[in-house]
Amino acid sequence: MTVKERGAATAVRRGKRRIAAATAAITLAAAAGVFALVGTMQSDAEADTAAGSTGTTSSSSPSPSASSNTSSTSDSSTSSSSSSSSSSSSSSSPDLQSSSSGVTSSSGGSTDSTSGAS
Amino acid sequence: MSARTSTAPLRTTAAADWRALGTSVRLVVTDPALLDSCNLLLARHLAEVDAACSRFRTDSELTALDASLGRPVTVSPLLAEALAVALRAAEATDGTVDPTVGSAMNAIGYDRDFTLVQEDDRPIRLTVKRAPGWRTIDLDRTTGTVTVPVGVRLDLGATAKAWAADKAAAMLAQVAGCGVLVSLGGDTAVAGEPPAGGWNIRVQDVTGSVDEVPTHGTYATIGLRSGGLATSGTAARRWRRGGYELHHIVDPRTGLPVRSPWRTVSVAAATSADANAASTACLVKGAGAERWLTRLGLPARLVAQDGTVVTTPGWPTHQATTHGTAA
Repeated sequence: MTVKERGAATAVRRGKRRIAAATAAITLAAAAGVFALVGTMQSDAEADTAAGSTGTTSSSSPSPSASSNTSSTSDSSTSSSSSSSSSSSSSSSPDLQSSSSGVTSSSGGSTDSTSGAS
Repeated sequence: MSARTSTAPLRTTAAADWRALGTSVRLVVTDPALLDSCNLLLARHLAEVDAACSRFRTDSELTALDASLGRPVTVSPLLAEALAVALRAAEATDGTVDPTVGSAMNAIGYDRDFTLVQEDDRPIRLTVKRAPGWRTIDLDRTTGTVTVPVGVRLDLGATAKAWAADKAAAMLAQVAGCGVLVSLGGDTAVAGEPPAGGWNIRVQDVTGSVDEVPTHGTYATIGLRSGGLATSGTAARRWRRGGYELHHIVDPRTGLPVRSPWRTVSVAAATSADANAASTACLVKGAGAERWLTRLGLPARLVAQDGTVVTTPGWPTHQATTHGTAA
């Protein structure tokens, strides 16, 4: 093996170590808590990194094609209703709470989920 | 665990299906790129809930309470919250959804993971015995201590999954900034901005795959934009033992599987926990359930044992149907 070849092999090994370290760091950050993951997800969105393999175990994850990320969600309005993280399920009110406009007629299309006894 | 992306006009979602807490888990998000990250957080959340609330794990916090001998025990904030939700459900349902039915569950043979219950053929003796009652449990939220009287066994199975779905959906929507649906065995919570037209949920006797339209019984598809939806019924989690046909909905007044005029009850509410408390209570309340739901202003769909469908005000009357048995 020539000096040049050895150098190339070393560079490959170093690259692999860096990828492994980055993957481990992202996984640990996700496991460490919600706030760490926020940063991970933001960076995922901003940079076209290979974050699809960041330790999400064996899930056959969907391939997020660029064209599929055109949902009607306006991510800038993230707080309002979802900010009540503890939700009213832990409310001390003894009354069961109705959702004023939560349930509607179906708009048709694909079924997102089913609800039955289990 | 499986996942896939679904693209319909004006709405893009991605979903993952797997199992935890002895039941099915379905996560749907409106931003497919965030599915894996959200799924990771959901798995962690459910692992924590299982470690705190499982009745079947020898190392769970709930099991440890069995050995407390009536002494006050400091519990984790997670178990304290789960207990608070269970006690609130009991109070709100006039005691028909009671967490002190643990001993009754054991007595009818449901003392292990359900897959093992079905294989068990030990004889049982059914006796009428009222549950100790939720008022015997003392929970101090300020100190995080709980006192369970000697001999009382807790079962959070009626409320914990729905509550866990609520917490998970709210947390994931907040960190991911997209619409999120979490279903744990059909106890469904949604949060964040829903997809165009809302979340399409098919209510049916038994929770199943979205791709498999029920061949028996009636079903209906509704839209859900916020809050929760839950279905309780006696068509699932059934087993035979010693000539008895048994199921998992226990009447606290008798300690035995409830004999209800309703086969399946679906309720929409501000949270999945509230929806589940109401739907389970209806099975126990029986004939008065429809009036009770109407008084509370909870939209619901009740299916009688003969298949007759009754709905309460607020439940969508125009429902998407695809088969003759839909109603």
